[in-house]
Amino acid sequence: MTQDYMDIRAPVFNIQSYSIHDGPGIRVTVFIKGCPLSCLWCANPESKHPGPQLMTYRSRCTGCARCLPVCPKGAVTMAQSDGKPYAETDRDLCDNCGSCVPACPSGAREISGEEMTVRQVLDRVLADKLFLDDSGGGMTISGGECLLYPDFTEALLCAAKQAGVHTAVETSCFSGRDTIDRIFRYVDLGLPDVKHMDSAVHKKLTGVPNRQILDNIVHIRSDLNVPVNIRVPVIPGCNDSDENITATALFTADKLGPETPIHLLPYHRLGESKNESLGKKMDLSIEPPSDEHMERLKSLAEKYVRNVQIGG
Amino acid sequence: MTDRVRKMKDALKINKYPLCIEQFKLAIESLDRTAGEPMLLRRAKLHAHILDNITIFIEDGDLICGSGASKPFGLEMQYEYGVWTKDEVESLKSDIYTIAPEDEEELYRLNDRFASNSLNSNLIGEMSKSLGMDDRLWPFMKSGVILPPWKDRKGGSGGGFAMSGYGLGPGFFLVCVDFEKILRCGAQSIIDEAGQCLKDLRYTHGDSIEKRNFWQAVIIVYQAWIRFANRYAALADKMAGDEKDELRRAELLEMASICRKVPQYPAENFREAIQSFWFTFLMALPSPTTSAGRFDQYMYPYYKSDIESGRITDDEVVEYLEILRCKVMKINRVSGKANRAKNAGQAKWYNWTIGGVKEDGSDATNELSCLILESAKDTLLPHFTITLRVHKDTPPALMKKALEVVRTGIGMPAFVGDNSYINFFVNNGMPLRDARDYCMTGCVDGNIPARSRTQVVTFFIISQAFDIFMHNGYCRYTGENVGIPTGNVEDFATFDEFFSAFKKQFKYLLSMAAERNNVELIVQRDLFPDPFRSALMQDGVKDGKDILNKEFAIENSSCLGAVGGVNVGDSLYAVKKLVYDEKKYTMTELLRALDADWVGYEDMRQDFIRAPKYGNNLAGPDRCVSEVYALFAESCAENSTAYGGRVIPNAISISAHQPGGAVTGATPDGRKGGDILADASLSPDHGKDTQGPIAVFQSAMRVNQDPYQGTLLNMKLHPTSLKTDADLMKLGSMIKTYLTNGGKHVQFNVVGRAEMEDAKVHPEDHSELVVRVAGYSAYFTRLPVSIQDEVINRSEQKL
Repeated sequence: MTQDYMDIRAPVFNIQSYSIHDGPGIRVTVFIKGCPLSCLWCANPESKHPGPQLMTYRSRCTGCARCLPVCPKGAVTMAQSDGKPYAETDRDLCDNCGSCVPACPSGAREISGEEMTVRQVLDRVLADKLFLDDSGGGMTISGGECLLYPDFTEALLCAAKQAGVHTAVETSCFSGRDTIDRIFRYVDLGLPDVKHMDSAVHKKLTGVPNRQILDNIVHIRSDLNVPVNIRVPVIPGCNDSDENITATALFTADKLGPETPIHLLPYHRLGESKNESLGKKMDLSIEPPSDEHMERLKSLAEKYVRNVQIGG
Repeated sequence: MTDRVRKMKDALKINKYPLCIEQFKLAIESLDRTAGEPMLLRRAKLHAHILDNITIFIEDGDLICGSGASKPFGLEMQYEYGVWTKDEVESLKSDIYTIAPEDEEELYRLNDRFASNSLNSNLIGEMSKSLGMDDRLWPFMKSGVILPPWKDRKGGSGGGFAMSGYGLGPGFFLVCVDFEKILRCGAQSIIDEAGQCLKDLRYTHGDSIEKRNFWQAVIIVYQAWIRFANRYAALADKMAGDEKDELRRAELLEMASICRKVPQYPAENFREAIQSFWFTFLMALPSPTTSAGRFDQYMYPYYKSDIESGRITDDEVVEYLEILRCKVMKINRVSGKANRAKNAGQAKWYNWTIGGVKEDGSDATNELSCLILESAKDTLLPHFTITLRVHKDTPPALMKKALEVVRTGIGMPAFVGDNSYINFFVNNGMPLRDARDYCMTGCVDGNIPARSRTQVVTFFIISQAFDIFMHNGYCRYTGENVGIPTGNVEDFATFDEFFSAFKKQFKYLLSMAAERNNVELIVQRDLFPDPFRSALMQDGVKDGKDILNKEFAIENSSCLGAVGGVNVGDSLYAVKKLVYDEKKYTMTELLRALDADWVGYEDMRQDFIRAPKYGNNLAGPDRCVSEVYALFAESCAENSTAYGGRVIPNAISISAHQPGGAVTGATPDGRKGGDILADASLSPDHGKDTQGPIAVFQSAMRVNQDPYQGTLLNMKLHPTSLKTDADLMKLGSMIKTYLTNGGKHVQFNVVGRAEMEDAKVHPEDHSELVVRVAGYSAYFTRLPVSIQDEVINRSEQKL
């Protein structure tokens, strides 16, 4: 690969320093924007669409109206809520140009997603290197789905490895085999999601079937020899049945080995408020699972797999 | 927690603290009798008179003798300090204090007799003569560059102090006495040594008589101290005689026999050692800052031999430590109205240092380090303060244990970095082995036990100095000239010219602050000799000199505290970017906007607010903040102190960023005039850090902290960030990385915003909510609203 691989770009919507739940040690997590799945419960709805998107925060808006005149599309108007004025954005008119962002004095508007080069992302990761190294941590690529951008992802992972940074990837594993092979050469730890064991249900919940996903996970573990932690987002009413958790644990034990850890990630509501910020509504309303329910699922999975933990 | 400790802890919930006047009465009696004698002997006799006569008592269930005042929870009105006027006493009564009506009457009578010739009025008088009556310094004293701004030429005569403890004031120098020596050798050895010195004395030098007075004074005080312990022995015996409960009777008899032995003779087991420690601690009080030094180190031999021989169990040791916490909770202090605003919420810093390295550089952690943390976790009491010294080999298990205590939300321990502290002492000429023995003697002020001491800091408001510079020497707060003319800022062609002129003004103002410290040092030396603490310094008896009248191996006797450094660094960067580099605004426009307090300049203000800020790991603003702290340190070093050394820089704002902000007009970081300044010294300005905790640490690591006696970095964590053991280990790793790479200090508040908001509205439901303010933890509901808001608004790091 030539040196210009450092200039390959991909849309990034967040680089989170001091991530402590995305792999071992302290990590910098790079969130890539754009995803081929459409999970009903998506926790990062801004990660779905690859382009930049305006996010607004009603609670921070003071109703000063400075954003009105700067909008080239006339998409912003004043509205009232509980007698207090606030700026409302007509999403049909808004083209996410971001002109209103610098005009807002209270930080109620921001653009999510910017094209970044491998070099820019790597610089942000290396800024924390001292802390990553001391804790046995590293970089985690998350999303969105990084497999949508194989050139960028491969280059970033390779550059990170060359700089001596431990690498982990959070992924749906929904992609062709060559992409998997290209990417996982440079991955120290895989963090694939298993959302449902039944392909038909998986399709209903995420928009895609699971055959390719499960095959890829087995390939990563068995053929590429990359250790993986299976991550299951526990979504009440969607995939939290005893049968599905048992099937997931069985799959893990049989195909990946009983030493492969499973992380049960309880559903949280962050995605709901983010949908609001994007001017969207969530399709379904879900209550986060109770601690007792999580503990029960954990002990179910522990029948087959040694290392099951709640949370990342 | 045992039943005994639970009862003691429950008993701590009282509504009013009694103010006592016994010490004041006894002091006046003694001073009347000793009029005309040398001050050293007068002070020794006064001290002895108090120890022989003050009311003593042993509380229910207590296993350690000695309380801080003549009444439980009491605060003794201090005779050394200012006079408590009726107005001030009324203000106390409306607060959480009470005074018996007959005592209040008597207090005013004592005031009338004593006020005009008290040591403090002499101190105030001298300071007024040197500072208030001096035409050069007087405008400075009221400018707000140092706190509090003087209102009249008599200066800080308003308000006195009331405190717990049996020692002599003043309490405002920071020192750790030689606890180890008392435990190991006993008070009798000090009396014997002083006696021998008297025998050997020949009148051959100009200070021979002074030395004679000193040794006589030492003998008077230490003999009285032994009598004081024996009064407790007699009381315990008497109480045992009246005690029906078999077990309690045995405890009282054991306490009696311990008090007959220590502190006079060496302690031989843990129970004797902790009693001897506590008697010593009470004698090093009253002070808001008495240090217990490296408690886990000097107590360890007694712990170890008792555990090995089966004389004590870990549970019993924890009970003793928890009793100690309850007892320290009852040691209190209150000052006049003006000072109460500066040190919010019964500020006190009784600091126990644990961990760190031994003299040879190896890890010093032992079982006691963990048990001390355990006692805090178990009782959830905010005092005594615990500081954990961190170095590269600090065991992760100790870090985890410490973070389990942090997780409870009581704001401790604080974490300090051995590297930077040891560098500080070594760079000041201390041998490495000695430097490795440093401990906390205030909030985060390092000192070497028995070998160094620091005079109270004067807060230097850097932002006010900057404002005076911006106005060519003119002070907006007082409306008169305070500084020197350094040029009209509109005339500087480059940022470098601008910054050089600022340096000149800054150094001029700082030298006056150093002068002010010197005046206090010189006057105190004559007025406040203290034979007790003096004898417990290195070569304390042999030298024959009072603690305030000698130069120590490392002379760090006087330091200045930097406040507002981050705001000025951020301001400098905004000026550089918007005025000099991008030329978006002229200096004339900026001056107009600042003078208008940004009113009518809102868009412009947004630009200055949006300019990159310190705390986000950005080289530009971080470098400006770093240069401000370098300038402060360099300027301190250019000023000499009355004790021969150089002024030492310190950077802990305690809660001075509130009154410091109150005197400072609008600043180019976008701050409005009067608004609170950034807290601590290395914390980013409120809410300006957006990149997470590592970025904050990286920014702070760009500041050279080694020249500072202490720096402060406060961080607030949400409880959800500390859920699992793995979370704690990762946080522990981050802390260690900071503290082994230039960082000096970090402490955490772990509490949810919602809980604090609710506590403001329903204080009655949150009386136990403890937060960390500066070097001390305080009950949230007892903080003034401005400080409550500030704690709430410190950026919450979601990990």
